[in-house]
Amino acid sequence: MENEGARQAVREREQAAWFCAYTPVEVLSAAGLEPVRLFGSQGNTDSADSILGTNICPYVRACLEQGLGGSAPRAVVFAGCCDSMRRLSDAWSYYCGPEFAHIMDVPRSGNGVSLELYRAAIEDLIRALEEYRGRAITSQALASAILKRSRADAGLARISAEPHRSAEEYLDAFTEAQSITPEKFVQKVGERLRSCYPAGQSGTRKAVIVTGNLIRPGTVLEVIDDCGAAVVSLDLCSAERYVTWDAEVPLEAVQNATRDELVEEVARRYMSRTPCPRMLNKADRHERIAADAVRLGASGVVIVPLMFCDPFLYDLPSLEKHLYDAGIPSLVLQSDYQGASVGQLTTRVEAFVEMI
Amino acid sequence: MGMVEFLADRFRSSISPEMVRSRAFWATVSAVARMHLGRPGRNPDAAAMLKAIDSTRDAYLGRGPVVWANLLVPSEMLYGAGVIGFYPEVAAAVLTIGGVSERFFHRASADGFSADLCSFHRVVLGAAAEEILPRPDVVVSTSSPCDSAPMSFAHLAGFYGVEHLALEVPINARLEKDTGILAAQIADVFERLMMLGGGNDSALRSAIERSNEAGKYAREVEELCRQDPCPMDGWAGLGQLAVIATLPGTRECVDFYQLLVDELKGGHTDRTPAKQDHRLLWMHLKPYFPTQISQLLEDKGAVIVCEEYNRWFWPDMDTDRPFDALAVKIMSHPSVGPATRRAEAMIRLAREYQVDGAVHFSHRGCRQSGGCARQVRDELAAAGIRTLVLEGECLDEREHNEGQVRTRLEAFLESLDGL
Repeated sequence: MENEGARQAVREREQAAWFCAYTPVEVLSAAGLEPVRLFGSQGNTDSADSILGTNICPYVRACLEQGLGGSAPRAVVFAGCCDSMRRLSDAWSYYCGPEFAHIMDVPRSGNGVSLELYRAAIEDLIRALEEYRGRAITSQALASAILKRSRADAGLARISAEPHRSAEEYLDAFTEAQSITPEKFVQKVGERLRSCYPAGQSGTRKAVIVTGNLIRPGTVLEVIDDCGAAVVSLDLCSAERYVTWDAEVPLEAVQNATRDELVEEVARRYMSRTPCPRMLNKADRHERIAADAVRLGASGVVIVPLMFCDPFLYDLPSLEKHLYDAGIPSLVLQSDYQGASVGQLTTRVEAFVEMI
Repeated sequence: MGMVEFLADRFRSSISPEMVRSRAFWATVSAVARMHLGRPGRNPDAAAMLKAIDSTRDAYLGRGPVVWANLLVPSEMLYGAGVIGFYPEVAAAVLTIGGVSERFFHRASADGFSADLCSFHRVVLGAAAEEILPRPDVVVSTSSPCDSAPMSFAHLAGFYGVEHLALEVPINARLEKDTGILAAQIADVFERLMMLGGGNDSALRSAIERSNEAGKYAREVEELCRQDPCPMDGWAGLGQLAVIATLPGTRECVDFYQLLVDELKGGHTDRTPAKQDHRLLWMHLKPYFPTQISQLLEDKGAVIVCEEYNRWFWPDMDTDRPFDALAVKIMSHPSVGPATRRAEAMIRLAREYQVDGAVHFSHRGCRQSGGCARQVRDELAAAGIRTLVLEGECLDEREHNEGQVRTRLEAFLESLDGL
C-alpha cells in the first residue's frame, strides 16, 4: 500500500495538469512531463464554491474541488483564456499549494499580433518549465513532442471521419487522448476505429452537430444518443476543438528545425485551430458551424454552453441568429457540467429531434 | 406621485432614438445641468459633468468620429487621436442612475442575452439594440479587467458593422517585462484612431501632460483623505468613476481635481461626513440605483476613505514614451494581473489610509472580481484587516436584496465597534 502510494506520488510529480485546449501540451511533454487534462470532481463542489462563489464556470469549480481534494498533479499549467480560468489559477496557487503553477497568455484576436503574443507566451512557459525541471527544453525534445502529438491528432482525425456508434463513445476517444500520452493513444486508434460503424452502415438516425464547452460523460450526450440522434460533429474544447486538423507533421519538417522555429510551429497550430467562442473572429466560427451542418448533413445544432461562461453567453444570440438565417434549427441546453436535471433535458431533446 | 416624479417618469418613458439625437434634447440637458451645478469655474462637479455632457452630445450629434471604449482604455489616447470617446459601461451606470435601464434589461433578455451576464453590459446591449446609444465608428476594448468588454464589444462591432480593435493586456501584467508588448499594440491602435480623428503625436503628448497635471491634484485629494477625519465621503466618490475613466487628458479633469482640492482644503464643503467612527476601504463598485446603503453607513458612522476603482492608480506618465506610459497605466490597475497582486495593492491601501475594515462589493455578474473575493478577503485577513464580502448587484435593481445587504453590512459594522 505504501509502495503504491509512493508510486502514485512519483507519477503525479511527473505529470502536469492542464485545463484549457489552448495549453500547448507539446511543451509540457518536451519538458519531460506527462500532460493530463483535468475534468474536475464529480458531484458537489462545496469547497470550491466557498472560494470562487457559485456564479462562476462549473467546470472551473469542479477542477478546483479536485485540486483541493489533493488528487491532482503537483505541476499545473493554466491558460489565461477567460476570467474563470484566471481565478482558478489564482485560487489553485493560493489554496492548493502546487509545486509548480504557471498561467500563460492566450490572445483572442486570431490575427498576426495574436500569433506573436502566443509565441511569446509559449517561450515564457518554456522558461518557467526549464527552471522548474532544472534542465533545458531542447529542440529535439520539442520536435519529438510535436511529432507525437501530431500523430495522436491524426488518429483522432481518422476516428472522427468514421460514423460513431454513439456520441458518448466518440467523446470518450477525445477524453482518452487528453488523459494518456500521445504514444499510448496512437496504439489505441485501431481499436477505436474497429468500434465505429463499418462504412455505409451508419444507421438511419437524424444527424445533429453539438457545439459547446465541455460535456461530462453520462449527461447531455447520453440523452442525445438515447433520443435517437446521431452526433456527426462534436465541437467542444474537450473534443474536436482540442485537435489540430492539419495533416500529420512529417519528420523532415521538424527534425532539423531550430527551437524558435518549433515554437513558431506550435503557436501556428494552436492559433489556426477551430476557434473557441472566446476568440474574437466570431463570424468565422458561426460560418464554420453552419457550413459543417450542410457538409455533414446535420438537420440541427444542439448548443450546450456551460452556465456562467461569459465568452459563450455573449456569443450565443449571434450564433443562434446565424443558424436561423441559414435555415438550421438549433436547441440551446445550458449545462451545469455535472449533469443535473437529465429528465428535463430528455424532454427537450426528444422534442427537438422530432421537430428536425 | 408628485408633479416632479410624474414629469420625470414621463421623461423616462419617452426617451427614444430620435430624442437623444436631437439638438433640443441636448440643449435642455445642458441648461438643466448648468442650472443645477452652477459655474464650472467654481464647482468641481460642474467642471467635470459639463465636459462629459458636451462630449456625449457631440457623440450623439455626430460631430466627429465616435470611438467606444471600455473602462481601461486610456482616455488620453482618444483625446490625442482627436476622436470622441464614448464609454458604454459608464453610460450604463448613468442610465441606471436616471432610472431608465430596466427596459434595456428586457430588450437584452429578449435578444437572447443571459441574465447571468454582467448587468453593465446587458444595459449596453439592450440600449444599443433600442438605438439609444450613439453609433460608434470603431470600438476599442482591453482584455482586462474582464471578459465582458471584449466579448460584448465583439458582438456590438458586428451589430454596427464597425471594426473592433482589441488590446490584449498581458495576463500577469509584469511592468518590467510586459510593457513593450502592450505598448506596441497601443501604438498601433493610436495610429488607426489618429487616421480617423485627425489627431497627432503632439496632441497625445499634450493630453498626457494634462493627465499628469490632473494626477498631481488627484493625489493631493487622496492625501487629504488619508487624514482623520476624512474630508470626503467615498460613497459619493464612487460616482466620480466617470471622471477618472473618461476625462484624464482634458483641461476639465485638471479643473475638477484642482477645485476639489481647494474645496476640501478650504473646509467649505458638504462632502465631509459628520460622524466618523469607522474608516473603510471599498473594493470594486457599488449599486447605482437608490439603496439605503449610504444612509446605513452614515448612521453607523462608517466613512469610505479609499476605494479600489475611483483612485489615481497609475504613476506619472513620460511624455517622451507615451505608449509605454499608457501601457503602464493600464497594467497598474489592481484588477489587472493575478489576484494576489490585487490583494497586495488593497493591503497597501488599507494601511496607508489606516482603515478599520474593508468591504468587497461582489457584483453578481462579475467573475473577475467576485471570483477572487474570498482570496482577497483571506489575504487581507492574514494582514489583520477585517473584510466583508458583500454580494450584490450594481445595476439590475430586480436582483438587489436590500434586507440581506443591510443585515450583512450592519453586522459587519457592528463587529468593528468592538475594535
